[in-house]
Amino acid sequence: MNWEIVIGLEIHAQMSTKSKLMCNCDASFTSEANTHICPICTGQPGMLPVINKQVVESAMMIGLATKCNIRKLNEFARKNYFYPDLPKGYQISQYDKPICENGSLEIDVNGVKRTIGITRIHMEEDAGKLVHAGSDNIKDASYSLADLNRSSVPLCEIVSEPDLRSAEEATAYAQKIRQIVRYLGVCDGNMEEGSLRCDANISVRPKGQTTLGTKTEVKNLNSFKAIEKAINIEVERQIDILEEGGEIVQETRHYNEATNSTKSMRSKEDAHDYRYFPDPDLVPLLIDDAWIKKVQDALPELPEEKKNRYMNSLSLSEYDANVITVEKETVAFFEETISFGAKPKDTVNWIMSEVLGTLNQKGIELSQTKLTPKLLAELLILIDKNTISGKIAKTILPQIIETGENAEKIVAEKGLAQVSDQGEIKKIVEAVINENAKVIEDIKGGNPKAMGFLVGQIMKRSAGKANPGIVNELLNELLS
Amino acid sequence: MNDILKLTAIEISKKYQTKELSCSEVTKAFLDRISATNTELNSFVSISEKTALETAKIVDEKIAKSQRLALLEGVPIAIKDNMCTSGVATTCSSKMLANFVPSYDATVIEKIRNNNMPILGKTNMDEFAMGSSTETSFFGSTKNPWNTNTVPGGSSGGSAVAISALQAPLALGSDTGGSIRQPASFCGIVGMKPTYGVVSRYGLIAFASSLDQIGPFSKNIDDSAALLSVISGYDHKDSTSQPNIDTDFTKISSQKEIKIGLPKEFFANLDPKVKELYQDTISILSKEGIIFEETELPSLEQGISTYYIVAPAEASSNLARFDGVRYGYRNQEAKSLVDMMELSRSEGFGAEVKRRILIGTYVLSSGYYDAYYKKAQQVRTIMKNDFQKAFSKYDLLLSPTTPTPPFSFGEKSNPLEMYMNDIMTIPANLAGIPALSMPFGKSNNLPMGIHLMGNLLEDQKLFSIAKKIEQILGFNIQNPYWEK
Amino acid sequence: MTIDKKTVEHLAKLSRLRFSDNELVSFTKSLDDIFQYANSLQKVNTDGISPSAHAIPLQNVFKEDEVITYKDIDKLLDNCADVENHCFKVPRILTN
Ligand SMILES: [Mg+2]
Ligand SMILES: [Zn+2]
Repeated sequence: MNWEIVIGLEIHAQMSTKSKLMCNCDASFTSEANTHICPICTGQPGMLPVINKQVVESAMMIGLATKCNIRKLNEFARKNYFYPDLPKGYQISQYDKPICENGSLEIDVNGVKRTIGITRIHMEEDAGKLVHAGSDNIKDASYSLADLNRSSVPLCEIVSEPDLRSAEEATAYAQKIRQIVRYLGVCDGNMEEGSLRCDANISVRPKGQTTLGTKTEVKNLNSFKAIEKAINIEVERQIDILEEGGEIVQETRHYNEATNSTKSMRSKEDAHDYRYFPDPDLVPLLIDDAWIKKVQDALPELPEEKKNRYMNSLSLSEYDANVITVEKETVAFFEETISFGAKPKDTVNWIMSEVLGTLNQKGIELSQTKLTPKLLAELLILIDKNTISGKIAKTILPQIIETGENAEKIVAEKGLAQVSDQGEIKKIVEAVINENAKVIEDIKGGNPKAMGFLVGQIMKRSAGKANPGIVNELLNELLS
Repeated sequence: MNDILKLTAIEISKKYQTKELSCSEVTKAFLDRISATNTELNSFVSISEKTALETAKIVDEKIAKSQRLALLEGVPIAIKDNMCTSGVATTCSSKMLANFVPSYDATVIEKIRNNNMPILGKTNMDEFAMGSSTETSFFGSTKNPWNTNTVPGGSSGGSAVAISALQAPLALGSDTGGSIRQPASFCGIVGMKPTYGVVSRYGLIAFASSLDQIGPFSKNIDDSAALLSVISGYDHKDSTSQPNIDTDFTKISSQKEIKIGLPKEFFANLDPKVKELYQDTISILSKEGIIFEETELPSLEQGISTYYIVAPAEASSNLARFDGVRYGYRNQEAKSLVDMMELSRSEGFGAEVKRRILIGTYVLSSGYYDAYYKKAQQVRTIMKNDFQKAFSKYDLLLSPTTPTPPFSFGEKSNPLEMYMNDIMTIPANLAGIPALSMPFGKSNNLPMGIHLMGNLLEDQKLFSIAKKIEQILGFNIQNPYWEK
Repeated sequence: MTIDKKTVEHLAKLSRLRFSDNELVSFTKSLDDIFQYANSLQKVNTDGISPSAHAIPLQNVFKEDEVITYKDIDKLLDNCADVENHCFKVPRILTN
């Protein structure tokens, strides 16, 4: 049978605020257990929550960036369940009144563009972390230790419609979400530290069927690779069951990256009924148009907008516009570089190939080098003015990255400036012609490769400094 | 018996200013009274003699230097044991928290400490404030000083008894459905529940968050208003705290004509003796020019049903944090997490607490939410509207505080029967309005309270009219226990 | 709607409580009494009435995004029955 894959993603993005959602503890990551805690986030008796305003604005920013409607009357609800990493016995979340609804996002997989619906985005607090002793898995652990540093750290949960049709699309969607929250500066997108976590709701159905098949929810997808692999393996599992005439059990499954398999998380003790109700300790949150407009006006330019602008007013190709906008840091570097007078197209090429290539080899990030947009612009302008050739420029780039010296200084010190003096070049050209009589004959016999050899010899003798345009001009003149 | 004990808080304050009394002397007198009577009454679960006397010393130094004292500065106070006191056990009279020592102060405690009011000790209560008789305390029940075979009411029974038996001139209680006003009525004293949000709930161990409110116990209205002035005020740590309130409740506003509504719905189930006393009182007050009118607030009939859905719903969630993991009682034999949680909670909580957790869990569970929880919240809206309508016509609403005189230990063994006791007091919590109980007479030598409800944020007006009524009725608080 | 033993057993499980048979019988009885009484709510017409989660309407109460370090963390841990490595220790989580 021909199966259609149906995927919806729930992405938990940790807001990079200074303090937690409901208390004033430091919200940043630390490996020292229970050092970012207080009576409120450890659920001590009598303690009360107060909402961090910045989280509300961050959630609004994500919503506006994904074309959501912002809800005017918001409410926080309690989600009740017992677990040792959940200090109050309930999680403060939003239930039937999430802050953002009905948004969408465009993804592009191999040139095919699709619009993915966003059902809702809501604010909630994170739970703490459990370390299982005596085993790396919860089942065999002899006991567990609760570290509540993460308790009440702010999250935005971004829930997509079941619009994704392949693991590739799901991955592209997750990457797009990461790109947006990073552009907005509301989440660092660090998947290894858990700043961005993803659960996938997966089902399959016969092609053409309109009703949804029974879904499973696969958790613990901590990298884009994991998202892709877990979806593929789960889809395969479901199709196998259905093709053998079996039925899918609606359940939560855990993805194990080491074994590349998913496993049921059901346990006999579970009786699920979260008993959501409005948190009586918190008051409603009213968002008026003026507030929305203020946040909207302060939104940074988003990847999609940048891309269009680059294509329209900087005449970049779609490919170039795409690659340069992927990462927030790269695009910022690009914009600053062209602000110093470098040509956009050259700048894209240089950043994407030479700069990032060199940094990759060294295993460092753009932010960690001495290379500044100004230094790069100066280098590119030297090429543009024919002061040095592109080839020479490539040879001095590592030095700029290393030392932060400017290109002009390096060129001057090393005497690398291009020679454009006709007389000087003519001497070299004549000498090379005299020494290569055989080659000259080949050229005259119509062998084009021979001409290249000749140019190479001339450049070599000039230590790469001879202006190639003048070399060609003189060769043509002397050989005709 | 030491005459100091009979003084009101304001009188004590005055005698500090005139240097007739020292704070240490006063504090010592009450501490002595507590140690002489607590074995019999069991109104205190812990006594903090040392810190109380330390505070008194600070006040005495100020008195010696003739420094001006703030309102009620240096007046000793007793605290219901559900308000967190840093470094001092805060138990909610539960086995669950018998050894719990908070590392923080409730906002009210911070205010009391900043005002140098010696804290005499923590008072007994129904476990987690769930009850109307102080019989559900893990530390045993508290006795009513008027008759020790009688309950003092609850849940703030210990605090009410502390005033009634002259163990403290002032006390704090908390009121979720009548837990200040009903014991005040049973003990012949004044107990007041402010407008919701006038006093911060930060550090009050929650029973039902949308209903809980801390309030004062005292011998008379003036003391009550003064104590509310000390403990009230906006608190940024409590999102439900009322901003921009005038916290001077001691101002008396006089008005020519006082119009009081008598809700018809409360007359139906009155004990004949209570009814008689109530009608006599109304005729006395009428003669003094107060205008009474019977009125209808139909939703009041749903008070108990609404309350016993809303309060347990919130409680079931509020009490989920007592899971043995971070603090509180833990069963040490349990071999698995679920065992540990279930055994700790089953052994740490008493029957009434468990009952309310079950009720609350039921009304929030899927399939029952709309029929119970949501329905109750809708009726709550109707009730708020009924009150708004009534207060557009009347300054106050009046009724007895309880439908019956104080009852004996074990008399109300059926939970529903016990719940019925709160029929007059519950609506004020659901609507958030201020209300108080003050003594208005005796039945079988047991005191009875009259219940006044005011409009939202009109706490000051409530005190003003209550003071007038107090002057007219001139009820003598004195009870037989005073001479013991 | 009447409350039966099975319902109470389920509620106990949801709320992490455990009862003896006698307790189960007694709670079933008292819950049933209470809900028989509370069912009087059903006769109130609440069409179009919005539910009140709060006694008094307030809105938009926030804190600013600033870090304030809590100084008495060790005292928080002192209340825990079992601490290991500065963490709250709990028995093994899964039994099956
Ligand atoms: Mg969630
Ligand atoms: Zn905290």
